[in-house]
Amino acid sequence: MIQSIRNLTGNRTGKFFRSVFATSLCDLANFGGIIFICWLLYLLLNPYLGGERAQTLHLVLICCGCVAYMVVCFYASIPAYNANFVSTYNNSTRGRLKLAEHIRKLSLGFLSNLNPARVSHSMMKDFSNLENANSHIIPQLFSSLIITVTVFIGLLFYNAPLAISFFCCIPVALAVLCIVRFMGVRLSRNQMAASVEASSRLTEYITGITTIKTNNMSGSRFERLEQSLNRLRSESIRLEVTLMPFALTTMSCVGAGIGIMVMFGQYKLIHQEISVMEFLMLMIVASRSIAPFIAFSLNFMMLQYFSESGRNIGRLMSERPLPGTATELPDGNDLVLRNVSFSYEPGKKILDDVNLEIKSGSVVAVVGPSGSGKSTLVKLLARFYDPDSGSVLMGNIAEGRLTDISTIDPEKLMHRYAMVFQESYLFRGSVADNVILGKKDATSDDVRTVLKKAMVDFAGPDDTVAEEGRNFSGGERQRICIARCMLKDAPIVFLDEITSSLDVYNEFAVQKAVDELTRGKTVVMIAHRLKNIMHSDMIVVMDKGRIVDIGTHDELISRDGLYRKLWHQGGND
Amino acid sequence: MVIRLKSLGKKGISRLLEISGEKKRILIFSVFLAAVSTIIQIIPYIASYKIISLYIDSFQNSVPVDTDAVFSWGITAVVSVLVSMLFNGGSFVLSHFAAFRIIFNLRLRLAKHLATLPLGYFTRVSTGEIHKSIHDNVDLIELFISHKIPDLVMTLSGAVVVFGLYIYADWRLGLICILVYVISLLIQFRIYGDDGVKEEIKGYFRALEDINATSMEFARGIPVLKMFSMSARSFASLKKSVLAYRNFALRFARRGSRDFIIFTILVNFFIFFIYPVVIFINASNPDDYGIVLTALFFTVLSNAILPSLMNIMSISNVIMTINEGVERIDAIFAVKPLPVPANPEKPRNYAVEFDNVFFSYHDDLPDNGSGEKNTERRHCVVNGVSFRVEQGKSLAVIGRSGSGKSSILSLVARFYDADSGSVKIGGMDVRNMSESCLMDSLSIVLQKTFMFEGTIRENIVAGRSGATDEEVLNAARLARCDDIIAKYGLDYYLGGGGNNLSGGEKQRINIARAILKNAPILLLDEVSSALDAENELLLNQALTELKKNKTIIMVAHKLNSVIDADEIIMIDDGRILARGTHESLLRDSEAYRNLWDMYVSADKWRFNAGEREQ
Ligand SMILES: Nc1ncnc2c1ncn2[C@@H]1O[C@H](COP(=O)(O)OP(=O)(O)OP(=O)(O)O)[C@@H](O)[C@H]1O
Ligand SMILES: Nc1ncnc2c1ncn2[C@@H]1O[C@H](COP(=O)(O)OP(=O)(O)OP(=O)(O)O)[C@@H](O)[C@H]1O
Ligand SMILES: [Mg+2]
Ligand SMILES: [Mg+2]
Repeated sequence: MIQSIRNLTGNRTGKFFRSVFATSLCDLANFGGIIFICWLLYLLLNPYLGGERAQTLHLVLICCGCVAYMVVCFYASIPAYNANFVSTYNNSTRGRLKLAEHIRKLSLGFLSNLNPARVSHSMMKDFSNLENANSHIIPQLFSSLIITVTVFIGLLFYNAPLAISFFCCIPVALAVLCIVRFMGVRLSRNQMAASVEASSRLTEYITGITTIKTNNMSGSRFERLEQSLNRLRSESIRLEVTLMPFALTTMSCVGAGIGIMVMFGQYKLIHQEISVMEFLMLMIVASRSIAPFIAFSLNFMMLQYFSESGRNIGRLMSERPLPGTATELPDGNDLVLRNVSFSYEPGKKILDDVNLEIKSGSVVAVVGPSGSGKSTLVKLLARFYDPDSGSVLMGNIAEGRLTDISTIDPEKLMHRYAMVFQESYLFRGSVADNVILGKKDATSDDVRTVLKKAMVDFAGPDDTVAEEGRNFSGGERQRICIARCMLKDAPIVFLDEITSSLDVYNEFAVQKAVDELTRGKTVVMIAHRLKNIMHSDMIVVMDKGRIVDIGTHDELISRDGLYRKLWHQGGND
Repeated sequence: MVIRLKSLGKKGISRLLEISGEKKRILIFSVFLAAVSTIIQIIPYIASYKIISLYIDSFQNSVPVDTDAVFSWGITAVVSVLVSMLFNGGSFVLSHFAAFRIIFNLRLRLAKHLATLPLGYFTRVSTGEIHKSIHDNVDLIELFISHKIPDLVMTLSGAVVVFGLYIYADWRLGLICILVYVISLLIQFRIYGDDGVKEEIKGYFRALEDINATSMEFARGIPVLKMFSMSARSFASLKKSVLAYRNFALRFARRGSRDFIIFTILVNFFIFFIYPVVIFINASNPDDYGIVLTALFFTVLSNAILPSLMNIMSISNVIMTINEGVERIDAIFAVKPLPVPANPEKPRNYAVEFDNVFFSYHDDLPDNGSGEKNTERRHCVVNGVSFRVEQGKSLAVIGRSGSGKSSILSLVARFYDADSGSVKIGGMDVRNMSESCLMDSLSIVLQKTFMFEGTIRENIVAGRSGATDEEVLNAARLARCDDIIAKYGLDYYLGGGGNNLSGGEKQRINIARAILKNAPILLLDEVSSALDAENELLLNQALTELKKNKTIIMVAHKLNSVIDADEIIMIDDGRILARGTHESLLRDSEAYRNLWDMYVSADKWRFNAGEREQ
């Protein structure tokens, strides 16, 4: 349980104790009101059980005391309220942003296996669960426990045998709760897994709606979605219905306490071991404490579920970001790949012993068949991944000063790079929002200039971009991404098939602009249309994860290799 | 106020039942069990009162206590606790089964409905928002049906019975209790009377949807963010929506806090309010101990009802949110699907024809927050296009990026309806064909690839379920996927978005899917944009093979892949600029000639080689 709570509160123990304390105080105060009622009832009943008659004034004074007490309760409740809500929501806000920040730093290797539904589930549901747990469940759990214990101890002093008879079933209830704990963890985990699964099927359904429609798979014909929803349904039913008998058992245990106490009490009454009045008071207080105990057991069960959310977040947060701490960037923008081998999945080598030197200020083209590892090569240069063996170095080749980029703080390193990805990705917002990502201090003039250069003539900076840039054509999206890259104005630029969706006019214009903007920069570009890159300083030919040839166009075309074959197949003479 | 809320909830619920096709019977039965359980739950308290009053009576009348009666009341108390738990459990199981079935059906219906909408809906509304409605808002409904309805019934039936007993025992004291409770309810519900609250809840929902949408985008766009965004905090939209959500939540909590606390205290102490009256009556008539016994009865019974009286607190909250949730779900249902023909017709053949078609993406842009939409981009993207492709012939559509080529293909597949003019297949307007008939006649490769999370086989088989492995392999071969399959095998599992394939590999799998479908009309949008020369060449050969007997419309920027087409149309700004075969266009159209020259000229990207060599 301690662990669950730690999961949920994220180790902010100070705040945690404060809110538990405040809530307990407030609940105890409310509960304590029963004393006034018992007192009044006692004084009223006393004469009819052979006692003294109380003065009416005395009774009235007690009533006034009770009203005053209610006011006290009111003021005691306010801090509890604030402690719970304000700190909870502030915590979860901080947590959400921290998680986002953290995720961004993780290696792409981890992230590409992590589906977006998982991330959004954590950002939304898991944190909502935490909010719920921190603002309600945990404080109430403790306060109800404290009330139950207080009542028990109080009654114990008042009349031990009866108190024990009332609470005699509680150990059973606690035992049941312990069993539930173990079952609950498993069931909650399954249910959450099913929920994430359903959620990712749903996302898939929405984002792939055209493919699904055109293949006549919509609606219930889309079995995958239906299956996952069905699984979610059965896991949810299992979670709730399996735990239900246990919940009811604990409730019955407490409820039965009343019955047992009544029976036991009447035995004692008959034997004159307690007075009617004593019995009565015990009964009223005890039956009042049923509700807190039930609240305790329900909250305890829910805690299991919610603590899974804490674990989910914890798991993401404990994933290590890409290593590297050096904040000093190497001086020089030469890039070197030395004996680099890399695989996304163990045993499936994608890059095999690659060696390459890229001089600062040169334009290097990477060509080769689809799937030969071109994009992977660039991703290693950009340190989206670290190689399995060998190293990627940056610095100055001539002076022999090279630094392994895996020792550099990845955040810092990114200042050196700009990139246009093979698949364009745009965020919701405006065109300017998307372009300005890379350079926050860019003026609107800067934005307008790059938009113009990148041939974004179809939209202004303030035009709306829908999710994934759906309201733009393929080529339009590509051009906005090119503008984004241009604006960042970094010394090393990676261009992955940046003109694949462009018509020849735009291609030509974009090329000219890119050319102008990359003057003096290190450029690594991937292209399938060999004509586009025939003038680069160096052409790297890749096949099946290896570099099979390096040279200028003229050198390569003169050899009878893959390059010449591709050149002719491309319809060139 | 309470009544109004309740009736709203009811409306929401009966609407839900209607949507999900769920029978009311089970729910009613579950509610009945819940009510019975509550009533039985009161018995132990009555029993304990009875026992005490037996003793007091015996003391007053100086006769020995009837121990048998005491004993049987004791037994009754224990038994009734157990029985009420059984009823409670029964109600619980029923309500959960019903609730989960309701939300299952609801989700499926929503999913089906989504597939009937014009695609513009998905431009306007983000995946995250839709996801929130279907996934999370529907979860709220579950909570409501399986927990809150029984809770509400328990509160109501408990309150009715206990207050009824109160009135029966002593109407003056009973009325006091009811009055206190009603006042506390009024105080608590006061905030919901405030119209601002509804807005507030809307804002709260919007903020949550926004977090959902941005975090989803965030997850998908990580590579871009890694490269371009220096810190997630600068990923302003996420931060903005997270903060907005917090502010709504806190404001909402603060707003109600005072009333909420007062409510709690009043309910907790409601039984106290009878005492001043009891004291007064008792003082004026000290010999009559009846009123004191009544007070005792009230007090003991109050413990039975207190938890349920408190319960209403969380219910009111849920009712508010559920109404908003149901409204949002209804808003999705309210989006008009593309009209379905009353008497669907079948095309006579597979010629494709555009007859003076105009089309624009009207209001398909999301609000940019300010509520106003940018108008300047709302022009026609298809401007009076007419053409006809005979069955078995091919048409190539070329033109600048953004000129409307993909839009033309979308109209054939009826992702949208044309504003005017008509799109026909085999002489039949696509609007008069049933969706499945239309889709059966088309194979489409979209410009943007799409991969399911699943194996390579599953991804290809999506084209035609039930295809044998042999057929799958054949389609894969034609789409030049041999090397992918040699490398990974058909059972290689692809993560979401096909992230573990290269750009060209994804494209080829998409082509294989369309080839496997083997429909009479083939729509190809830039299918070789990510392919290397060899694959492109071989793919084009394979397509030529396939073209026999198929109607093909293809969009391409690489002109060498269109020269064999039976007709080429050149689009500019949604209009047909020139049409003809490659030869005739080269001869007659200057625009085409320029384009072609530009395409074949080798002198393209020079990289300022001269300047660099200094
Ligand atoms: N995230 C990933 N996880 C697992 N495997 C991957 C991943 N990304 C790429 N691969 C595999 O690595 C190989 C090389 O992919 P890469 O993207 O580098 O190819 P490419 O040369 O850029 O091809 P294309 O021209 O088609 O874009 C491919 O076989 C691909 O299946
Ligand atoms: N869903 C949409 N909502 C609003 N506008 C859109 C939408 N899709 C495309 N557009 C706009 O319509 C115009 C035509 O787009 P379309 O996708 O048909 O171009 P295209 O000729 O296929 O271009 P490309 O060669 O770049 O793919 C473009 O200006 C584009 O911005
Ligand atoms: Mg690639
Ligand atoms: Mg297009």
